[in-house]
Amino acid sequence: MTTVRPFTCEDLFKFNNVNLDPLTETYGVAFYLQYLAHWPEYFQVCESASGKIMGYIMGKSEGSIPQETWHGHVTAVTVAPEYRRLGLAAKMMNFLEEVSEKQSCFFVDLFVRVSNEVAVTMYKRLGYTVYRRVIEYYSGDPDEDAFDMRKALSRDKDKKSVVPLKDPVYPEDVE
Amino acid sequence: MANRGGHHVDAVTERRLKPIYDNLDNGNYKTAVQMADKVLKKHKELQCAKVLKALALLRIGKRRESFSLTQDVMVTKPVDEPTLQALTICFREMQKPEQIIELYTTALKSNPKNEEFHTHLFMALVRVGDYKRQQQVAKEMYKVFPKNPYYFWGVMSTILQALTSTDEKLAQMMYLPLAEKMVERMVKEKRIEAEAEVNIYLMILGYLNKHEKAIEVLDGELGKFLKVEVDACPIRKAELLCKMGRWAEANSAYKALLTKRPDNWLYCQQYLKSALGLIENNWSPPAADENDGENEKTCQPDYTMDMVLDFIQETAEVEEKKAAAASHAHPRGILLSRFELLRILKEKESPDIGKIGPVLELFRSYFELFGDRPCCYDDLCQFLPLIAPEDHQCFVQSLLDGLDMELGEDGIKYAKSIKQIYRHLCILKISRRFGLQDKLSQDEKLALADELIKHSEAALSYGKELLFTDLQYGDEYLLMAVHLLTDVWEATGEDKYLWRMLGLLENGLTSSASCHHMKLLLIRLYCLAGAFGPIPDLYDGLDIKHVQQDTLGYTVSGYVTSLGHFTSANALFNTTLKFFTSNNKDTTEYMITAYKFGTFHKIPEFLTFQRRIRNSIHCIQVTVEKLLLELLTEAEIAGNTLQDFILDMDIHPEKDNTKWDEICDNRDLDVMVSWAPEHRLFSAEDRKVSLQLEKSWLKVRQLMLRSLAAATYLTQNSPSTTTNTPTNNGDGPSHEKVLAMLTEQLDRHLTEVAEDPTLHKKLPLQGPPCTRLVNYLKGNCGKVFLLALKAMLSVHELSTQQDQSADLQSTIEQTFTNITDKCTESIRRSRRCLIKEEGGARLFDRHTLPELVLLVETLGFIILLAGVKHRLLKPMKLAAIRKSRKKKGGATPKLPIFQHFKDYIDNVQQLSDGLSMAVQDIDPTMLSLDLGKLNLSENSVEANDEEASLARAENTVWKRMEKSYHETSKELLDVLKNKKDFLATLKL
Repeated sequence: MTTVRPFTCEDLFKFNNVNLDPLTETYGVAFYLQYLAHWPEYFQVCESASGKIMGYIMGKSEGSIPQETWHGHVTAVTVAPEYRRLGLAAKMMNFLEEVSEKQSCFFVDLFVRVSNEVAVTMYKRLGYTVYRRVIEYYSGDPDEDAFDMRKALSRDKDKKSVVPLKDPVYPEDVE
Repeated sequence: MANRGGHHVDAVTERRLKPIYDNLDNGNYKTAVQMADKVLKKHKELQCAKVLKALALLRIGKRRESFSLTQDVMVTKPVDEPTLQALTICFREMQKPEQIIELYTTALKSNPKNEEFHTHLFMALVRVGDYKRQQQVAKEMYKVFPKNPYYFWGVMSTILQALTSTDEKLAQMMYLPLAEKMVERMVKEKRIEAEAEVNIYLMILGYLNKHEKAIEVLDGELGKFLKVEVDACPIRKAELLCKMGRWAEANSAYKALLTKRPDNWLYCQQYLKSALGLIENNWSPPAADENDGENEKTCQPDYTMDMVLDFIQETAEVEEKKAAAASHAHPRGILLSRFELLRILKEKESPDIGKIGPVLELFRSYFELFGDRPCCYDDLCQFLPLIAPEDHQCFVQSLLDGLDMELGEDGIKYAKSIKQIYRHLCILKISRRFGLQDKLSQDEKLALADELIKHSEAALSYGKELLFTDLQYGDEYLLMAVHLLTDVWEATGEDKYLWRMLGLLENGLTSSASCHHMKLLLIRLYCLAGAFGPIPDLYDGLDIKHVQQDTLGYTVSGYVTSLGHFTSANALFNTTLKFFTSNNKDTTEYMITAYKFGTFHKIPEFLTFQRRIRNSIHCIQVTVEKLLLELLTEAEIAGNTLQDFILDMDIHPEKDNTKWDEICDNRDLDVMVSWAPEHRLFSAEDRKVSLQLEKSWLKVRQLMLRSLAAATYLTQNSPSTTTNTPTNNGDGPSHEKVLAMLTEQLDRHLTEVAEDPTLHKKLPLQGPPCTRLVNYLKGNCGKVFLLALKAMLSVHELSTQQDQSADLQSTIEQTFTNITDKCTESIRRSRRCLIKEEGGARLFDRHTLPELVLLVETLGFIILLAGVKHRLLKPMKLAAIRKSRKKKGGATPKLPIFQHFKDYIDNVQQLSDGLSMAVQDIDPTMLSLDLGKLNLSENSVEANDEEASLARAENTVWKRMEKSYHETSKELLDVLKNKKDFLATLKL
């Protein structure tokens, strides 16, 4: 049982059981506030009946309508270890797609480490395909490439937005 | 970063300024200053260059020079965009937001039609939270530029006046109705344009509790504006109906929502709540409606228990089919709603409870479906009280029996798959929660712990493919073993269990490197063992940063000083305070963003957030600890006098700046997992107790700091030196009065604290750490410090008297003796061997160290105060010498105080030597102790592989302990040495 509700500042005080997971980044407060101030409808949290935070999703919409790049973007989606394998991530992704549909986006996109097979498989199952590879998108030791994965929404009837690019691109080519 | 906007600037100027901007951006502030000077030489009138210079100066710490430059520019009333922007950045970084207001107010006077200036002024007012002026500016803007957003900025400003008004009546009778009227005017004139405007209307109606009206808005034309949120209208309407107790409509609304999202727990709860509301009121649909074909079946409210159960049953079946078809997880929400219903009915002692079916069966079938998910225990936990205590044992047994595990050679049944591991763990957790483990004897607990450790090792074979970042499947076996050992440790008081737990957890981390539960426990246990050395690595390993410093900092911040790791303390305190300072600024900037994007409902939320962070007890504690630490470790070293430090710290000892009633407790005290029975968990009551004790300790520390400051100011009463001293410009109380007041307050507070019945309350290991209060009181640290303050006051009094009274001098002598006696006693008490022999066994005394740290601190402050006394007595001595020289021949009788002071200094010197020895005695390296070989923790070193790795881990533990104690000893000796050196200079 999950309550999906908008993420609030208060949640920053109690999201530790999610964020202590090594793959979940804790950003500066400003980063969360920016999303809350600008795209609150895209920032949702899943709460268990006991009041624990199970996971959350952050996203935004951006791009240009005339160029047909107006899209929803998944900035972060994360689930605490003990609540995995319950389909929560899928549920939150669906939610984000629904919001993006409401805002008449053409597609939804996200970036994922090429090594993160579990995530890539999950996104594929949810209908996302690799649109392009971004070279050394993640800095670290060593730097790592990202897949830019996309899923077309109903506004993009011909699914033009997800036709894969042949060649990989550099981070500076990505907005 | 310097923002450059200026499209109004001509290209030439831009080219001239570019190098300055570039250097600012790249952090070359000194070069930026030079560049600015160069430009200014040729173009004196270029104001922007001046401001950029000011910015560069500010960033290299020349605040005063920077500020005065900005003021030169302010006088010229600048209106060009680059200058305005640069000034804004400058003032923001100086934290002088009121200057930005002035800047744009002036700019607007010469350009009243400039829209951007208006906006900037409005935002500047947001920064300082001047809601009233915000409202005026917004109104003004809307007049000149009739755009909707500006109008609604005004509405929001009105709401904020209501929300921050201390007068509830004023808020409800004036500001909110005004805001409502403002919006309704726009509605009437059909000028509503955006979703944000409807949202703000609903927000106002919510604050005014006008739910009826809000529903009309949602149902009407305005409701159509709500597009961005998913299901905005139905969700909000359902909430409002529930709030108003319109159960029939609420029930249909939630039923509809639940049909769409059957896993949503909030909907489940509200559906049940509204249905029970109908049942209790014997509600039935009005006759006319019954054959109303317009309403679909799903929309009709459920008003009998049978209808409710049917609905749950139907929905569950539909979902089960869906789940089976798509092979995804069953929705747990709808299934758990039966438990919730049971819980409510039981609470109400309703006879309907029988209709739901046998309780145990319900649990069993849920366990059947979800037992192999790690969340199963968490789902069921709150409903476990539904099972009668007499059924506990057999229920657990029946679950175990149903779990076809494999019998190992050692007679233990092991899980055969990952799913079985999870099921087994779930049963174990339920059993612990029931309190069944508490009923075991100590030996049985130890045996169970051993068994669990074997399970955790066996489980590793399933996790070979797991990544470094994954948790091992059997981690919780190990955690529970440690919890059991904690139980035994606490019951017997034997530390050998502590060492064993440390070894187990260190060993556990070698196979499950990312398990934060193990790390958190290790942190706590090492700290209890007196070793802070391993903590920074563990803490960094948890990657705790940003807001987590506020919520999780408590796990280490108290120990880092109490265990004498002063270098780490300094680093930790600095990063923590950096977070708190920057956060304040950030939150304000995003409030501005919220105005820009019309996300008005976030503004009150941001305000609350800002307040919570600003009043965080952790922030206040770290601030005072950092200052005390600085005085202890740095004052009176290498010519840096106590006076310099106190002046730099800008302490105003006469006033208590802490708003005690507004202090917020942001500690995340649920972060450590526990499956203990309810009555043993960290409760809300415990939280209150813990916060109160933290406040008490904070008060002690603040009073100490303030009295140290007040004492320091005593030496600056002569007119020539008062320039920098706060207060005493004739209006405030004199420094000695302040010191006397603080001494009295500290005295009273310590007496109160000593009598606090909660002082010795035992909190669960998974709760917050204890404060240092108990050790502080036991070591008489407060008493000694108070005596030193009293001596300080007497010495000051003596120094102001014309003919120094003999009585006062002998009082001082007596106080000096008291200080020495009390200190001697405390040192004797805490000077113990690190390893003691007891009944043939060697025991490690982990309690000595925190006691010694407090004594070192106390003695350090005593010495600093002695320095102040010295400064007061020195002129007296010089005067006496002068006098005796004048009266050649006739020897003047020396004042006894000089001899008393000398004796006192000698005694303190001896105390320091004694304390130094005691500190050396806790350094295992100095004592050539190899802790690992002392058999402190009865590990059975057999040839077995697993146990060998455990023995290795225990050895690691001892090595870390040795290193940490050595480090502490070194740091303490450093402090003592520096203070002793200073003491040696205090000759009259």
